[in-house]
Amino acid sequence: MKLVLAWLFVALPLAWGVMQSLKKSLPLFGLQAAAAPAK
Amino acid sequence: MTSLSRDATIAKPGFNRWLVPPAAIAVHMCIGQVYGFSVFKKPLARVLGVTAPGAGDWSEADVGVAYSIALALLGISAAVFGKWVERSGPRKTMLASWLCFCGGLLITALAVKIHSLWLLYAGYGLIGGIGLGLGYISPVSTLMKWFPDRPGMATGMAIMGFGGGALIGAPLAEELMKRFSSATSVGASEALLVMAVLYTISMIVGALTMRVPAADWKPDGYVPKATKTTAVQVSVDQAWKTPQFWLLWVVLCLNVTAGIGILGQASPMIQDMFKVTPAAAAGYVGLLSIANLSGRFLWSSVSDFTGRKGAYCLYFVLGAILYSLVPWTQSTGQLTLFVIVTGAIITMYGGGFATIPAYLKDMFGTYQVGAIHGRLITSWSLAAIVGPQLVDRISAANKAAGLPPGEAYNFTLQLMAGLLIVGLIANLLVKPVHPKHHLKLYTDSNA
Repeated sequence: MKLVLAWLFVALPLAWGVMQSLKKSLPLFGLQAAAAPAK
Repeated sequence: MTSLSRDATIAKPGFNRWLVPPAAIAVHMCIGQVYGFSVFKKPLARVLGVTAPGAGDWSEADVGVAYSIALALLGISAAVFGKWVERSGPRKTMLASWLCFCGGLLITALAVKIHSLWLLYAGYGLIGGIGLGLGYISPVSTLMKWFPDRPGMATGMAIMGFGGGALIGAPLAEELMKRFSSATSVGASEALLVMAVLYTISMIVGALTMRVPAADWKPDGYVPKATKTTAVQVSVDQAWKTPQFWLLWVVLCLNVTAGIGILGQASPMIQDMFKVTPAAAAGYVGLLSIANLSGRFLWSSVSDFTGRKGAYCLYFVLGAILYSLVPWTQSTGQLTLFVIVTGAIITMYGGGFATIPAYLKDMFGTYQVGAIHGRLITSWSLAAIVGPQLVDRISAANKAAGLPPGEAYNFTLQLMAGLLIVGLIANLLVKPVHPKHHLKLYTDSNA
């Protein structure tokens, strides 16, 4: 249990960070409109 | 303070060694925030004007100096305090790293509040930078002692955490600044305070979970391979008198510089080469960060099977080939292939970072490998500061000379391929350390 908690403690923030980057990358492949085109 | 000493952190029989990597990652993923510092550049350049830079506001270049100081201090402190880190053990060092890094964030928040550039440099650059150096090397030798059967994988996991720090730190800072911003504030000061609190929790948990193995501990069923380098132990003061140390210094320096050739100009490069929007370019930068993170774990684990020298040969040869392919992907308009090729290059950039501690262990043993690693990463500091400047200037000069923007990067890319070939030569010259440098009175019980 301690082992699972220890790994979750680091895996969850890392997974969140990876998800944020993947979401940001969608416009690169035209999969989703860019959130806000730079002016 | 006795609970912080190395002896107090010796693991009891039955301790699960797989608790050690997450403890190391918990610290590394905090200090890796430095890679995401760029998200603060624009907000800190309009602290007074808020919506736009106002009179008396810092320039983005002014703010960027704090990042350069932090990276310089990372290398310097790792080199200077390496022996202390070995003596004190990982827990005390991690707590010192937390004090400096999170203390630095608090001072940075104050610097933003009272708008003092020198306090920003002292807080984020000087004090925070020392925290980076201490935190970076703190778990290295401990991980290799816990995983003598897979040292590359073990240190790769921790150093992967450092790469992940930017993936967490950058969106976290953006989210917090969005939440705290108002008509009179960019929200940076409050965001830094919250980050200091969150990072405190993570670093303290990491430090308290950390244990060192007993001197006679070995993994179940582990039999050390009988190789030329198995029994070698070299002190840090001897190590840097050897050609092997300096060859590995060159190897890391060139590997980092070559990676920065892509990372340092990723956003403008893809916009110039493929005419993508800035938002799409930001997505590309994010993908490179994921490649950097995964390469750290993947390649360092591979090095446990190929050997460290073989792994670096792979990075350099494959890297040089891939670099020379990049202009072709642009001329044929293959965006997806461009992303794959440059992503693969960045996996090897990350792999280079993560494999070096195990390479040092192979050459110099585990006796003072953390301290030796500390001195070696001065090459990273140098490459991280000089590399982007070099790349920016070459690309700018090519654009000024009238080259089409899409082709302005070709020379830089070829230069990076050339640097990797020089790195390959340095790697091929690495031979086992001469016995005159070995520690005379070393016995296994000191390990």
